[in-house]
Amino acid sequence: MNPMLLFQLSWRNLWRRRRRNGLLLAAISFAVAGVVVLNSFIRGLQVQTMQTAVNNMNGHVKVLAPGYLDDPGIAKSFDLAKEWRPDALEGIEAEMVAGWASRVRVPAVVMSERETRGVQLVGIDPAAEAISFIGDMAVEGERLSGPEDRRLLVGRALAGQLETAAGRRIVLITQGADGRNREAGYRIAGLYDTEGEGLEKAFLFTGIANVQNLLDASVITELSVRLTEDRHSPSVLSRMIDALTGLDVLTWQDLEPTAAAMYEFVDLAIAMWFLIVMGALAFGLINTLVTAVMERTRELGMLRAVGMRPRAVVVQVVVESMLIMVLGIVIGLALGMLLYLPMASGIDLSAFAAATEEFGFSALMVPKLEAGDIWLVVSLAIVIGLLASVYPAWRSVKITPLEAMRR
Amino acid sequence: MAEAILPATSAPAQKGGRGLFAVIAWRNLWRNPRRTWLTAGGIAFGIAIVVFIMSFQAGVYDAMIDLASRFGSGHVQVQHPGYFDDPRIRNTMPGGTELTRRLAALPEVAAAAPRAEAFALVSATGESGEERSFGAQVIGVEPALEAGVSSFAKSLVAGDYLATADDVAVGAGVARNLNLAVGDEVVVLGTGREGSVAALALNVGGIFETGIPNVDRAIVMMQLAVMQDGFDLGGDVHRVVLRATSIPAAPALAAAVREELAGAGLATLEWPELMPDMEQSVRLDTLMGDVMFGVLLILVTFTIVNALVMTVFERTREFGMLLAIGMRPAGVMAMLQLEALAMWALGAAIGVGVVLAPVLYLQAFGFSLDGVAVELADSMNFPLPERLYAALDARALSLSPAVLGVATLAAAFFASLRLRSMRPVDALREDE
Repeated sequence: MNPMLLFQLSWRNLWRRRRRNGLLLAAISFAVAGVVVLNSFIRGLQVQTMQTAVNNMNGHVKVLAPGYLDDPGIAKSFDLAKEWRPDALEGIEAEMVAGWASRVRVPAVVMSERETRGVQLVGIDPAAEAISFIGDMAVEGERLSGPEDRRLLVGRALAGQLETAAGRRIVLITQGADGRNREAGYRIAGLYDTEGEGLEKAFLFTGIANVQNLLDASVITELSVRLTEDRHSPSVLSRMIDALTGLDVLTWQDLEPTAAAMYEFVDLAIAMWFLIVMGALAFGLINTLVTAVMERTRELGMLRAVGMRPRAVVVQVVVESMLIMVLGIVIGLALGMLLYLPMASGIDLSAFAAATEEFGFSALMVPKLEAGDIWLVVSLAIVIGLLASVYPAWRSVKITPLEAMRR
Repeated sequence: MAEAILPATSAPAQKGGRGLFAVIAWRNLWRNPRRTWLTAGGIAFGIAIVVFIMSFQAGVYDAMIDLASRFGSGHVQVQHPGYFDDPRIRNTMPGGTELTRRLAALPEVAAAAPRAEAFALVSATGESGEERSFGAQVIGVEPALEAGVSSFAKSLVAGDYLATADDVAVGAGVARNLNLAVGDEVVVLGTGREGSVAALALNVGGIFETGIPNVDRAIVMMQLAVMQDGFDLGGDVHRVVLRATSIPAAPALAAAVREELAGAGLATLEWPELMPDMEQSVRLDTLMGDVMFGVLLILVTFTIVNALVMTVFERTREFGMLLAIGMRPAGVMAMLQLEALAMWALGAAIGVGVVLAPVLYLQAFGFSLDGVAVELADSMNFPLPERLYAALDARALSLSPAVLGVATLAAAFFASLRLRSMRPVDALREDE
């Protein structure tokens, strides 16, 4: 039978029952829009998890001396030539690399006149830290001027605990390369603010040369490389592993397993959520399609009697199912976009700040709509539409001219 | 309404009329069994999924909160009113032992233990003579009581838990950082309450590993008396940690403690304040779950509306006839409501019936976290119990059936609206 004719038949059949099919259309649109919007939330959280982990002085790829993670200290350090750059390695293009930074990070005890706390002392080159949260954090007072700066940046929460302020002096105790304790007083250049208090209480920043002087060591304990895009990660990682033998070359996933587990879990969550929604939709779809077949028993029987092939009947049912599905998907996507666009700039989750910090989310959740997810929604909806038309189509074939005429 | 099709002569007849309505509604349901099964199936699907996920959420939350409370906060704490915002050594409570005993006597309290805390530098000398130091949170506990409120004693990977006054128990991370083994000497150096130097030479008696890196990396424990002596605390403590019989019983415990300590000038804090990250994680996850349940239940509602609209449409002739012989539109609408209700009851019974067995099984026996789940839990850096249990509560069991019940009745009302404008003559003329 002429495919165009079949298509027309199906199309007109849809319009014969406007109210019923309108409701089904509304259900499909709602399902598609709901899936699209909620997916964009989940995806947004996922992307944020990764960005927070990368920003947290990890970069996409980080180099450490073996054993540093178990025993962080200047004893587990390494040296790199001053002119070392990741994009000088064969196979790493300059446009893959957003930046890199060397640091010295050691545990230290900080004392003010009133209080004592345990912290991580991090020596940085401020100019290189555009690749981490250090580059965008707000600072009250002065920032560090360069790698030679001998002053400290203190988190606001830590300064509160220590009852100290910008311009005051505090004392640091840490272990030198020889294993003996060093003690020195430093002036506070400024207080920094981050989204949660965790980082503010954990890190003290100063110039990298200052820490190296204090510890009598010209080495570094870590090097972070930030890439322009996440997809370059595997190739850069393998090149750096080859080039830096004897050192641990790790990804942000290795360093922040909680964030990585969340990141991985998201894909599974999206797939499960989608299946549940489409499963619920399938009941309504089958219901409508079967009714459409049964109420046309006479008509279909007649068509069979005048010579229409059973296959043509099946195709008609399937085309009808597809038509309504595609129409529903189009409307659903449009609706989803309408809901998504006003939220695209972000949703305030600051009421959950402690939890979002725990899991590496930002308190401003920015939903993310990805083309891949839309395709997944569309293709799985079409598969469900096909599956849902199996039973009605089978039922339609069972209608014989005789049975139909008798009604 | 029922009187409309039967002569309203006597009370028994009226009663019979109502019964008749129910019978007719039930039979109508089976005039199109395929549709009834599909619609009830949709209802059952929605209810089963929501009940299952909700009871699982509740079980996992309880397990996570309970486990986290065992490595720190307990369920309820009593503190100096300034200590929570400003945890410094001088914010103490006098008479820690008597206070603990008094609170432990409350019927709501399952266990109570006092703690004193301070920040100190912990140092050790390695084999080659090099000295290593590390800043740590030092906690003084009464080992026998502490075992009732926390699981540090059960998390030992080496040695024992504060068996003698010379012992410290250290987290596995602390032990790694300072290269410590059981029997090694450590020096704890801090500032006493009155500003004097607190210096204690002790031996590592045990090493614990809780699975929470922030705890394992940061905590050193010693006996309370030793701590009070070394840090000039006298008989004072910083917290009394309490456990209720269960997480849901914590608010009642807190209320009893507040009553007991009325006028004492002490602060009573509950676990949501003590572990805000945990409380918010649970709230955020519940919120996201509720949004998803909402979308799912609305979808099921669409299915119900659609089925009922189709039903009404197909039975135009029948309804026209009923109206023609004198039944009021309201009577027909009531019958549809009954039909919808019966369909909902069928779906809800199937949904709850299908999900009840697995949920009750998981509630009684739980399921063990192995393979992927253990890997995930490990990599989450979060202690998960060895077995997770579902917790079927009234909310999980009743919420989705109730929502869909209301939705079904609303759907039947919506579908039967066209009856009000139906003219019997036209309806009877309608083709089948």
